[in-house]
Amino acid sequence: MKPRRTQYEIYWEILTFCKSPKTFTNIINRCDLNSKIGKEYLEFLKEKGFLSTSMNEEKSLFVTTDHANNYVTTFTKMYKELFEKSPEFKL
Amino acid sequence: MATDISNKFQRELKSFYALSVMNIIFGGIGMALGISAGVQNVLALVEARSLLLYQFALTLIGFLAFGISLRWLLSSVEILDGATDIKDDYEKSKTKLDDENATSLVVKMMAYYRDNRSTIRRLTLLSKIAGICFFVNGIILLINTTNNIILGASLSSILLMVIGTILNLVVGASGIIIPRSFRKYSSVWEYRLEQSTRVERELDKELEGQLK
Repeated sequence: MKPRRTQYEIYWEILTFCKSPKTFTNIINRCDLNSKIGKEYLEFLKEKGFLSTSMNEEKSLFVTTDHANNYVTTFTKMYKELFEKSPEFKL
Repeated sequence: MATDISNKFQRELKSFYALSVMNIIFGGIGMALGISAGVQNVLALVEARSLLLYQFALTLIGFLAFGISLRWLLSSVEILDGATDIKDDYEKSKTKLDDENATSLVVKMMAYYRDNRSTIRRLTLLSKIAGICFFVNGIILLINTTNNIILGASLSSILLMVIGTILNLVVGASGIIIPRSFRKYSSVWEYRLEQSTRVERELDKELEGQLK
């Protein structure tokens, strides 16, 4: 089981994973979510316009839209900074 | 920049991995010493066929140290398990540590700390208690060894007692030093978690701006 992540971290994981089209099963497996929670996250991201869906051979595919760029960039930049600029743990 | 962050990951992961392995080693030695002290003193009590207070106290300390060391060892294994997973993830992505991979590692390390916060606190406390038990046992053994030297005991028995005393004192000292390193690790990650709430506020703004 994946360790405890915040909703913002899960959004980021879904959005970076869906840079290329992915099925619902792909997403919940990769991000280690149960289907109920997975559905909620995907609905939220669709509602925000961060994800779009298309059909391929009767399967619904999720893909990250350009609207998500700001969120993904801000998250990546700030999390990297958070690690780089904080004190280091050394024995 | 990519090399800087990669080096920082490497140093931090190496330090934490070493700390976790050290914990397992000392937890294991502690367990062995505890059970051996407990059993030896129980045998001495059985042989004497009476309740010797001194031996009884050593038996209690021995078994208590054994129990605490067992918990210490189990918690250490839990911690090492997660540390190994993160180290493996780093090894896999270190040749191509782009922004996405680096961020993914930070997310994993942060989630790992959130998940293991209470185990680390427990470990800090357990190793400290075990350390005190071994230190007390070491001091008692030191007094005994000195007495035996004065009374002219055989060289082999004195040698065994000296080894036992050193081992107890070393495990005792490790039980006091290791929690300090864990506290250092916790304070670094607590600071990062605190900073992440500021990041979350920014991300909230990003999400609110996208309301359809």
